[in-house]
Amino acid sequence: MSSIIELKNVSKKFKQLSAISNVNLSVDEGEIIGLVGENGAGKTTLINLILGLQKPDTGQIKVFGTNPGTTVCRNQIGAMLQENVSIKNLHVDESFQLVRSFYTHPLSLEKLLTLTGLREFRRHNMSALSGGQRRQLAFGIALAGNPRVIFLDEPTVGLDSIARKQFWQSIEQLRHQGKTLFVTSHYLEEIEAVAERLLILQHGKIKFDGPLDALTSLYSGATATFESELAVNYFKTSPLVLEAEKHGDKITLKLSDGDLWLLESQHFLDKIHRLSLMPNSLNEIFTDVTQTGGRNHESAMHAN
Amino acid sequence: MNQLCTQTKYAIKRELLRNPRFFLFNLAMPAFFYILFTKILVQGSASEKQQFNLNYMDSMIFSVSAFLAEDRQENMPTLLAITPAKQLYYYVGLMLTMTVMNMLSASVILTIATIINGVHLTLSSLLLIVGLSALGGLPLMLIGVLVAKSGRPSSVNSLCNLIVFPMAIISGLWWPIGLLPHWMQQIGKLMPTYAVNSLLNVVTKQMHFNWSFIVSLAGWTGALLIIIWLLSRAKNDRSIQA
Repeated sequence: MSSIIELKNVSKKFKQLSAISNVNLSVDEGEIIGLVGENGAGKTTLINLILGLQKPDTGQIKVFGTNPGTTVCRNQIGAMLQENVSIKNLHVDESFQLVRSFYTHPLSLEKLLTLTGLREFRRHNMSALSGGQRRQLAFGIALAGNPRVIFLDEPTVGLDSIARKQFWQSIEQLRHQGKTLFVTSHYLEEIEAVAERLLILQHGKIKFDGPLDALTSLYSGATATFESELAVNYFKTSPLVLEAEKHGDKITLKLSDGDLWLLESQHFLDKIHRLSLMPNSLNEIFTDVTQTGGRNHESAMHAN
Repeated sequence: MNQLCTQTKYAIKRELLRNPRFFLFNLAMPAFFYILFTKILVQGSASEKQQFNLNYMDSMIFSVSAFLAEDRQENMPTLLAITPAKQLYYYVGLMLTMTVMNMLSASVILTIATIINGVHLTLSSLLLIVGLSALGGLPLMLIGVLVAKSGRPSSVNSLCNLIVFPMAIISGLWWPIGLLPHWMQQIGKLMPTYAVNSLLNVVTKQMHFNWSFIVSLAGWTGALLIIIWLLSRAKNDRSIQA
């Protein structure tokens, strides 16, 4: 596959604050990338740099082989930024028509109304739309040009559960069409459901870049919950146990590797009851990577 | 060209047809002030009643800057930056719309002048006045663009007030320029509003035509275009803060 976005040693500072630090990234056509990080990690700056809204202090960015922000790039990129873009005094369908007129091969109005779920609000003025509907409008504006690459920065903020479901269905359609998608979200379960590749940013640096599976397999951490009369200190002796708590008979163990711990626990399995072993969620892995620096598996920090 | 037509079409919808402020500030208020100055406050001769001080023209600075400031609050510049939209067309569409508004305002005042004040002007004079209002509006619209580009959306109104009222006073829009101190008259005569007003007097009061009025308008337009261009370039060079 061919790389359509290339970042080489890209850095960006705002005064003394380093927003992006020495980032290298290569994106192939058709990839679905989940971009995650805590607030201020540099996600929005990274998107702005690729869109050409900001210029890097050092390094090189190429989008479709040219500099970001050129008409060639803008014709093939759609973006739904964190701050809604709206067009005052226009109806929903007029807003779409206006934005469609900017592009050479736009999506049809009907398609946009379907993908955004705004068909019944097509004659509504901007000021009559709710926060969630404005978000849907922003989504439509991002898709208006039938772009090859779509940036979605916190796309589901403000959407109710029905609109959110419809949004992800639309994303699924875009995936089938081979679109390249960059999605940032604080709802990691949403990222987990859609992204094939995960980028974790922390303090402007890429802490993890690789397939979601690689991250979950490297971070094979789990939480074991069971009942036992044994003292909690008995379980703490294992190097696989990161944390141990006991409330009454119920013991909860945070494990660095659930499978290994299960093998190790054969000799006391008869002394524990109601065992439940849950692999860590992406949320827990994300917290581990960003807050503890990946104490479980240093290797996971540099999967690529 | 298609994009320009579409941008202009939607600018007219947004700014003219669905903008109650336009009817208030660009049609109703100028008409009210025209009647106030020519029918109520002035008990003068027929020629005095013919005065067409385009006192509403200053409000174009307000209209343009307010429109741009509101668009900025809705992140319109970001939309233009991330799509292949031509920014020039956005501004040209806005200017064309404002020119239509300006000509409508002039037409309303001319209609009042004819019906209420009994002013008689030939068709060519009427058309010339409407044309002059369009021409004279150009530098004022550009001042509006400059104000919108210079300040924050919240400070645009204050900046406009700082420009519009002194300009209206010293260029003789509100009372005769001859009443002002000599030095102030000299500054007032450099204002674009003074040039438009003087051209208007050439048509309505058969006053002597002077090329300096045209040169003044052209100079203001050219200088403002250059400043706006330089400002846009400087802003493009500076990255948008995250």
